[in-house]
Amino acid sequence: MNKEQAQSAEITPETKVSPGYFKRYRLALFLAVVAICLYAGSILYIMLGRGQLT
Amino acid sequence: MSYNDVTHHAADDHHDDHGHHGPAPGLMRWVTTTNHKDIGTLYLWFSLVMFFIGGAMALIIRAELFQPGIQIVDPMFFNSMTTMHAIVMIFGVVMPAFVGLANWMIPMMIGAPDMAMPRLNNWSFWIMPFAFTIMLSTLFMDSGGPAGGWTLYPPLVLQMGDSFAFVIFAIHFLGISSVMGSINIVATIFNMRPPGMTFMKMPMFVWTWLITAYLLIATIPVFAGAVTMLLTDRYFGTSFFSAAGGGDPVMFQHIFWFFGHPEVYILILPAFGIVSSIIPTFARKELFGYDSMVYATASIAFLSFIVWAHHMFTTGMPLAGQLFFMFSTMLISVPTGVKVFNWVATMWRGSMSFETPMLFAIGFVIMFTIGGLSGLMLAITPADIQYHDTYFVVAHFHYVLVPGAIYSLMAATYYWMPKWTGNMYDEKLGRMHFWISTVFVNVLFFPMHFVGLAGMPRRIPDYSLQFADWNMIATIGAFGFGFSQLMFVYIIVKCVKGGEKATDEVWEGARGLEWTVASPAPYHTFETAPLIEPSTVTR
Repeated sequence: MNKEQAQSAEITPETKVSPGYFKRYRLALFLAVVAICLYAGSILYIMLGRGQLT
Repeated sequence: MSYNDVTHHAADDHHDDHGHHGPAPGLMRWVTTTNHKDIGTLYLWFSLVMFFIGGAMALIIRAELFQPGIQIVDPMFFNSMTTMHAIVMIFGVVMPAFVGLANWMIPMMIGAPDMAMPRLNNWSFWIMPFAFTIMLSTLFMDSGGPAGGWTLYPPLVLQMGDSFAFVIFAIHFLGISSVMGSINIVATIFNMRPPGMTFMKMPMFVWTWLITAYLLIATIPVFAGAVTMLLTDRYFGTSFFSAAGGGDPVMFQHIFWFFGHPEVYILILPAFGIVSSIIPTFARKELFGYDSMVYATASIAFLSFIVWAHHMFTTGMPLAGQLFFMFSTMLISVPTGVKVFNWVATMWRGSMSFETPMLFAIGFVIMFTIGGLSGLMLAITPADIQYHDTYFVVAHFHYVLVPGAIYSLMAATYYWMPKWTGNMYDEKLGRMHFWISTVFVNVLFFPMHFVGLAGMPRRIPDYSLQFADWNMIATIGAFGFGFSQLMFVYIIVKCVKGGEKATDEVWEGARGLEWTVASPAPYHTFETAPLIEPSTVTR
């Protein structure tokens, strides 16, 4: 793409609406929850699944 | 002003920064910055400093191994050096350098004004110097630094001194930094692409980083879980991995390598993306087989999760397990072969020129393939049982990581430095840097194949006389390679300070949005989302 081709995107009414916190960061929050579950899951797996906690 | 709330011409951002503050004056600019370019620069300088710290450790190792016998350092310190060299190079050099490149380039490549979460980005970086200060401080403790290897295998690692808790603490923080950085990268790529920038229009560097970020999010927490359990085994009386208390030390190895093998691809996938950007530029051709490159990257990422136990063939496992992990490991050579084929096909009948980034990229393709082939040998279970824990393994992964990952970082630095600084680097010195490095890196690592096949064990400060000649040669190579990197620093500093002015496009065959902005790249770019037409070349 050269400078001549670079143009601004059109503004649509939808883009001006600011979404709420959870909606705005839902992907990041979802990935953070996945990471926390993997961390806790690896410990719980050994504690419960591998019989470390009896 | 929101992302789409702008109407002026995207590519003219550098002409009219009105209404926007520039960088803050003084040192606080770097402490408080949320600008993706500043944070990218911080990551890159940090990794360069760590490269020399980790490199100094490597030279201590090689100096000790120059001749058989205990020569310079005591064995415990030698073990500390092998451990810390690995941790520093993996977590302090290659990973931060790729994150630095991601920070600098991903927003500019996809036409976004910044990363999706700039404050998180600042935090992700500043955790790292803090964590490494803690980790490196252990070298000054009475008990010495960590010495059980970067794999932290119990029960050996549980016999470490007080540095253990510091190392575990630092690893947790490095993990938090990596996961936050990865979430930011995924969110940026998903949410910040301008209209028309479809996934299949993204440059390969963006694709490889997207997949790498998923690998990080999936594996780093598991590693963090494993080291948390080590911590509780050591200090809180649990027996997760202690056989005396009913635990299973081999279980740690499974968990570690469930993280550790995808980690290998975390260290190499962004390198694939860099090389896939550079080779088309200097071959003046479109990347051959773009779609297959994307699918090959995704395949490698998937396969990386089902091969981990090939690191553990000697621990003993059922025949079915040995066969599964042997064949799944061999399967990785298929998508990797696709990539190597595509790079060569891109060069085929291209109008090639051999500037420094291209030299490093071609060096990468050839020498990474050497490392890949020895990896294929190590995948064969009965052969691996012979090669395991020998210098053959050291030769293998150093070919993948030094003329592989590190060469890609050098290629990327030479390729994008004119865009970052606005100045061309010294081409003559750059080429000299490549050739001197390439000679010495092979003098350093190729003999390790020979001593490894002859049975020299790794992580040992002393060795049998029969290995003396090749070890001496490898040490000469190490010092040659190490000191030739001072040239790299000189070239960077010289380029930052001045030099021939770079054009906006910089390279004749360059493609992609990052080359449409001025050189040096203005502090704020693409505040207006560029409209990407179906015919627009973005990769």
